[in-house]
Amino acid sequence: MKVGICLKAVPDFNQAEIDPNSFGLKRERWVINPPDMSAVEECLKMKEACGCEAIVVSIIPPDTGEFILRRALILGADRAIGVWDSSFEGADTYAKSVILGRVFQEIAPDMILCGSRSIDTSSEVMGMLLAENLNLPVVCGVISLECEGKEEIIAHKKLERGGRETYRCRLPAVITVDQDINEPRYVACFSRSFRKGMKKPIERIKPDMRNLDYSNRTERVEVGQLKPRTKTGKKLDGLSVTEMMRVLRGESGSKKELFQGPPSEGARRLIEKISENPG
Amino acid sequence: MSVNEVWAFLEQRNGKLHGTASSIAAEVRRDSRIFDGAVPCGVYFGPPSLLRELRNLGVYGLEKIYCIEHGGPYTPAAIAAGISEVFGREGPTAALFAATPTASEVAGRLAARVGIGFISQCVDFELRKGVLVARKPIYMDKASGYFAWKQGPPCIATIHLDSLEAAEAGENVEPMIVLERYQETGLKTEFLKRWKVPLSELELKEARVVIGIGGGLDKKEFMDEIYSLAEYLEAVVGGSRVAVFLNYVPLDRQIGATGSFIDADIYIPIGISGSSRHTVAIKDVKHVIPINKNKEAPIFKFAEFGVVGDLYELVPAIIEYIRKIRRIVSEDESRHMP
Repeated sequence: MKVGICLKAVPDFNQAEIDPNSFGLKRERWVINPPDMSAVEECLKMKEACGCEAIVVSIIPPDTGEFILRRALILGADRAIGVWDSSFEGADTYAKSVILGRVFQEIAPDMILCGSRSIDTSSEVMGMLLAENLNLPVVCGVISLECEGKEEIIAHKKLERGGRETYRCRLPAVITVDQDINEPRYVACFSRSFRKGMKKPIERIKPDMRNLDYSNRTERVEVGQLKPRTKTGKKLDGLSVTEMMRVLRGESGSKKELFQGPPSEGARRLIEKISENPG
Repeated sequence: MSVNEVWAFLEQRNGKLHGTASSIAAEVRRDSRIFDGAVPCGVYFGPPSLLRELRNLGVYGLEKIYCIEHGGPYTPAAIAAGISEVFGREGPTAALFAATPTASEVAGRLAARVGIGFISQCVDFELRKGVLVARKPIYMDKASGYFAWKQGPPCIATIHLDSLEAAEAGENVEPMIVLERYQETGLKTEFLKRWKVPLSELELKEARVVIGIGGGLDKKEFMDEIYSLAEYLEAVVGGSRVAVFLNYVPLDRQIGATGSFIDADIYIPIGISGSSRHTVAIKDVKHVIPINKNKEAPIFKFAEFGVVGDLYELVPAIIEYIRKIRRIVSEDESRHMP
C-alpha cells in the first residue's frame, strides 16, 4: 500500500521575528507545518502496524526543500519528492492542489494524508481541493484513524466540544488529520533511523503541467499589523487607560457582582447564572 | 443567472439551529453594503421542522432564506452537495460561513466543487479600489494578512468565530422562504455515527464547562464531591499547579501557563486565588464563576459573578440544589404523562 503525504514548509514561529515596518519575516527557518508533521507520524504508525510505503511530496524550492524533505526521511519516510518549477512561485492553495493532483496521478497512492490546516496562512482546504481534483472521497479533521485491511478505513472526525463523527470510506481516499491525532516522534541525532534517513535520496521532479489551469484563485494584497475586529458591543473610546487595560486583559471591569450570604442561596444564584448560558 | 445576494450558511445540529446561525445572519446584513447593497440571504440545509426558527432570523435582517429539505444524515459532504446545486443555479455574489468545524468543511467542499477562491478565518472585509479584500490573522496570529479574490465574485469565506456577534437589525423583516429539495446521489464516504467523547476522557481545551480546583481545598476526600458536582454540570475537572502537586488532579488536567489553556464557555474555579500563571490560561473563557472564601482574591477580577463562601458548605449546597430541581422536573414530567 502506498501512502502519499503532502508537506508544507512554514516559518518556525518560535524563532522568526516579524519586522515592525514591513511585516516581513526576519530570521526565517523553515519547519514542517505541525499538522502535516502529525500526518507523517500517523503514516509511520501505519507503516509499523501493517506495512505501507510512505511517500512525502512537497512543492518547495530546492534550497529550503533539502532540509524539509530530509527531515521527513529521517523520521522514517521511504521516498521524498520535491516538486518545483519557476512558475510555481507564489502559488496559492488552489494552484498547489492542481500541481499536487498532477503529481499524485503519477504516483497513484492508496491514501493521501495531509494536515487539516496550515499554521502560517491558516488555509484549510488543501485536502478537499485535492480530493475534488482527483475525484476521491475525503474525510477532514480526523482525530483517530483505523485501517480495516487494505480496502477500507474508518475515520473519526473531530467536532467542537468533544463531538465526534465516524465515517467509513473505501480506499483510495484523502484524509486530513487534526494536529491532536498524535504526538510526532523525536529522532535523536546519529541514531539508526537518522543515519538511514541521511542516506536516502531526495527525488526532484518537474511535473508536466500542459493543458492544466493552475492559476491562483486568491492573492495576498498586503501584510499588516494584527488588527482584531472592533465590535459594536465593546466600546473602548472614552475609557481611562487603566480601565482600557483591564478590558484588554480580559478582566470584567466594573460590572462584576459578588454574592455573600448563606450557601443555599449562593448555590441557587450560581446555578441560575450557569443555566443562563446553555450550550 | 446571477443575483446580487450574500448568503449566510445557517447550521443546524440535532434538530436545533446552531448558536452561530444568528450571528452569521447579522454578519451578512452588516456586509451587504460592502457587497454593493446585496440582499442578505440565508441558506439552510436540514429537516423542515425548523421553519419557525428560521423565520425568527428576520430579526437579524435576513430577507430571504433558501431552505433545502433533507432527511439526513447531515454530513458536510451532503450539505455541500445540496448547497452547490442551489449555488450554481442562483449564482450569489458571496457565501459566508461561520468557522465551526462543520461549516468550515462545507465551505471548503463547496469552494472545491465550484472551483472558486476560498479564504478561511476572515476577520473583516473592506473595499480597496472597488476590489473586495478580506483581512485575516496570519503567521500564528502575529500579523494580519489582506487577501483578495483574484477572479472577483462569487466569493466564499469563513468568518472567525471571535469576530461574529449577533447584532440585531433594529427592524423586524419577514424573510421569504424558498423551499428547495435535494436528492443526494453518489456520496463517496459512508456516515456511521455521531457521538460524544465521555467526560472522563475529554481534554480540557475541548470542554464546554470546566471546574478548576486549587490550593484552597485541603481534604483530598472532598474530591469525590467535586467529581459528582462535575457529573451534574457535565463539566471536566482541572486544577491549578498546586492541585497537581497535591495529587488532586492528574498532570494532564493542569490549567495554567505550564499546563493547558482552556476556552470553555463556563469556568468555575473552586478555591483558586488566581495567580497570573493561572489566569493567563483562562483568558478565552467566556464566563468565569469563582467560589472563594476571600473576597479580595484576584480571581474575582475576571468574574462577572462570584460566590464568596466556604467551599465545603457551598459545593454540597449546589449538589443538593441541582438534585432538588431535577426531582421537580421529573415529577412534573411524570404528571404530564398520560
